[in-house]
Amino acid sequence: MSLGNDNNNKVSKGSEVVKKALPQMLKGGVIMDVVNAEQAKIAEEAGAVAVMALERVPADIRANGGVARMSDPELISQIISTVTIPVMAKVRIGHFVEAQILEALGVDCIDESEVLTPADEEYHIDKNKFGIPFVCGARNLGEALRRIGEGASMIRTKGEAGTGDVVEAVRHARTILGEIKKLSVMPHEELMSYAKLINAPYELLLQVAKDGRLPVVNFAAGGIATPADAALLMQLGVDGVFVGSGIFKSANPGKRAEAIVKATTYFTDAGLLATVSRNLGEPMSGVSIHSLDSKEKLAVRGW
Amino acid sequence: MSLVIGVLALQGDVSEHCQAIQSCGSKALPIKYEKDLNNIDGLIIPGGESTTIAKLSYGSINSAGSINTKNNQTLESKISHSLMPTRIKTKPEQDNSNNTIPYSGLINKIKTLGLSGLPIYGTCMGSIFLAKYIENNLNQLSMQLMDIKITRNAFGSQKNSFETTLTINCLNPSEYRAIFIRAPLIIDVGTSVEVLAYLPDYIKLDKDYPTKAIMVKEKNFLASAFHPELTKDYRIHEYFLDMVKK
Repeated sequence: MSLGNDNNNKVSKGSEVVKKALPQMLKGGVIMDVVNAEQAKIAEEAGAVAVMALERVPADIRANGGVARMSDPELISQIISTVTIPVMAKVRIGHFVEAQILEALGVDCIDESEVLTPADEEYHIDKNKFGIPFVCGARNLGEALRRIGEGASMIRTKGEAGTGDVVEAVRHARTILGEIKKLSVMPHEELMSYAKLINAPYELLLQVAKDGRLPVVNFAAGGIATPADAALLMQLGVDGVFVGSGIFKSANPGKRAEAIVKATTYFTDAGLLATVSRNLGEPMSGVSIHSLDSKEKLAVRGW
Repeated sequence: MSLVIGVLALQGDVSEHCQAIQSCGSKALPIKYEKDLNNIDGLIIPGGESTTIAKLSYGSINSAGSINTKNNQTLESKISHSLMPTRIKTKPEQDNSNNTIPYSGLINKIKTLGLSGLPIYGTCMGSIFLAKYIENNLNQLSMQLMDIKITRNAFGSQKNSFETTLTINCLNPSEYRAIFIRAPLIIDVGTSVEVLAYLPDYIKLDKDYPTKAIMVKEKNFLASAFHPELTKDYRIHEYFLDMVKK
């Protein structure tokens, strides 16, 4: 609230460039799921670039079932006042009132997340209406560009949250990055049909074809549990990683968190990866993606 | 021969700075290891998260595995001969910091190079790493190269991040569109520090400070609270390159 007068037209807050800039500052970093202020502190001390405040990590949402909603604002406020790094929080897909509440609370970024139970099975939030950035999940380029078209300032792969199985994050990262490569060599006359094929906004698709990358920062998420998982996604070409259940469902969260941070920075240094991967204790036990019923999969949420 | 500018590449908006440097006709080199520092003419410390960079640059990169390589120990002993006396003293207000992070090579080498004249430019988080004093900060470590006092997140959370048009007299024309993201503010400066831009008067803050500077220069060091790498106006990178050429 420092900038007294919001109507002052000399100062522009919440502009597209200002919203996209926050995720740019997070590149090369690790964003960690935390469920209380104590975990947030551990994450910050381990070197997280941001924390994602939520009531239950995805592994517990998966285990407990029921409707998963935005976290208690009290919990989010406690986390905001505990750490100096950016604080993100999740809202249900399409639940723009939860998003209004999080914006009022002063979170730095909102995750419109398939991990929570969707509030709208047809429409996502109109993210352009908000003054703070949104991150959204995507499995492919069309989905990523639809979210960006709605105003997302950051994209993450969906992966399959709460499993500790990295296979879906790898699939989604390879799909998105592969489609971008394909676009960059595609003859111009094919672009409109390709936009139609993948249900992507044409103007955004043209921009991706020209730049050879998404117009926003692109992180990996969903099932990352080890330093090697983080480095794998970084080598595939994402800008950074989210780690959800992988840290605080493991035997030694602080040590594992720090190791994943280092692995994300020095992702091509196999010697260092070998060193930081030693003696981390049990990782989260996890569930194989193939043991899940199709109705248990979270990544299919969102349209 | 074109200049080679290193960009500290531990975390943050590294590629944006590299792009800016290349657009100005110089070569950009991402820096992750000490050895990368050997052949650079200047260094940029980008925007990012200061706690993360502190962890990565001060923390021995081997500590997670509890294994110290010989390399690192050699380095530590070198440090104890050269830089120990000037090593960062935690101020009384920082005494309760839980700082068990061992001092490592990368940032120490940068500090040594800076003290021997290497031009260094810090943007946003980078400016925090150059500052001698950091307000209200318990376990932040910086290189203490500039005689400035800085406060982190001076404007609050992301919803108060903003862009505005500044007057920067060392640029021609002096109008400059600047982007502030969870930005710090330079709240006091020593006598040897030249203030190149102040926070405009129309931006009101809750607290009063001895000064409200957003771009400062001292000897071979330059710092800005905002992010010139996020725009296509590269005049501030050119200004820094001019400092490097001198």
